[in-house]
Amino acid sequence: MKPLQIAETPTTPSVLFDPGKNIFEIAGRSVADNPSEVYQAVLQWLTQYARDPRPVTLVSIKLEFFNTASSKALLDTLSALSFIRNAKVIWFHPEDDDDMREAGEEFFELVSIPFEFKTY
Amino acid sequence: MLVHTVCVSQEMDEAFFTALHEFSGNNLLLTKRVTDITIELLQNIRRHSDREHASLQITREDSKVTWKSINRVTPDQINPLAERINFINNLGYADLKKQHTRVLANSRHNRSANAGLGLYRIAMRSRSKLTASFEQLDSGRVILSLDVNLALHP
Repeated sequence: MKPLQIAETPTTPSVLFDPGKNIFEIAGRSVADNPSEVYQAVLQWLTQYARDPRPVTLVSIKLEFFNTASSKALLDTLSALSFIRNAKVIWFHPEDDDDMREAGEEFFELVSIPFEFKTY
Repeated sequence: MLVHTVCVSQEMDEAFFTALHEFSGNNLLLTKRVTDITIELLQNIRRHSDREHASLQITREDSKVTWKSINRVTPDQINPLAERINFINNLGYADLKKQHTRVLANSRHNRSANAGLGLYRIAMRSRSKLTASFEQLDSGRVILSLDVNLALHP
């Protein structure tokens, strides 16, 4: 399947979903007033990918900041991931950043997908 | 005392983030909280107000950071906003988190059910009570002044 690659901007994250290289990651800032352009592309790609996923899909999410609008878009993305068999989220946060860890824990509460928390 | 005025029409470019990082004394954790709260207040202003009666100022003192967010609302928004802020202010941190989770979960099924999510987030990040005051300009225009405090621990 063709990879999804979206370049980072000051307000939107980089996205690289490349099944061939086994890389699935969202990173950077997600603070745009309307982040739907990025996340719609992610959702469309995931819908296709869910039909024939890799045996295991590990998705890294490493966000510096995200705003309220993005939290809804992220929730939709995580919900879509929950339909992919053997998918798991690796939620990265700085070691002393309780806010970002708690944000990950909140998403974990709301979706049916395993989470692993890692510090950086 | 350090004062930073955020231009409400400014793009959130690298200069925006660098200014907040410098305002936070290049402290990473403080930068994260200051940036989170500033973005929520700024986007709240942009969503709900014209630029004419809008401003956002951040002040840093030894013991706290204070935001003064000003934007225009309509008279019919006063009571719902005052009630929501009062409700938020009466929640402890654990209940605030639960309520934020509930509103976020509802937003998945109902796009209009996210009312106040930004305010919950600001209250969670600042871990302080929100202070709102309303000044009636005329029969159709009211100025909302929202103050947010973030305590700084040495």
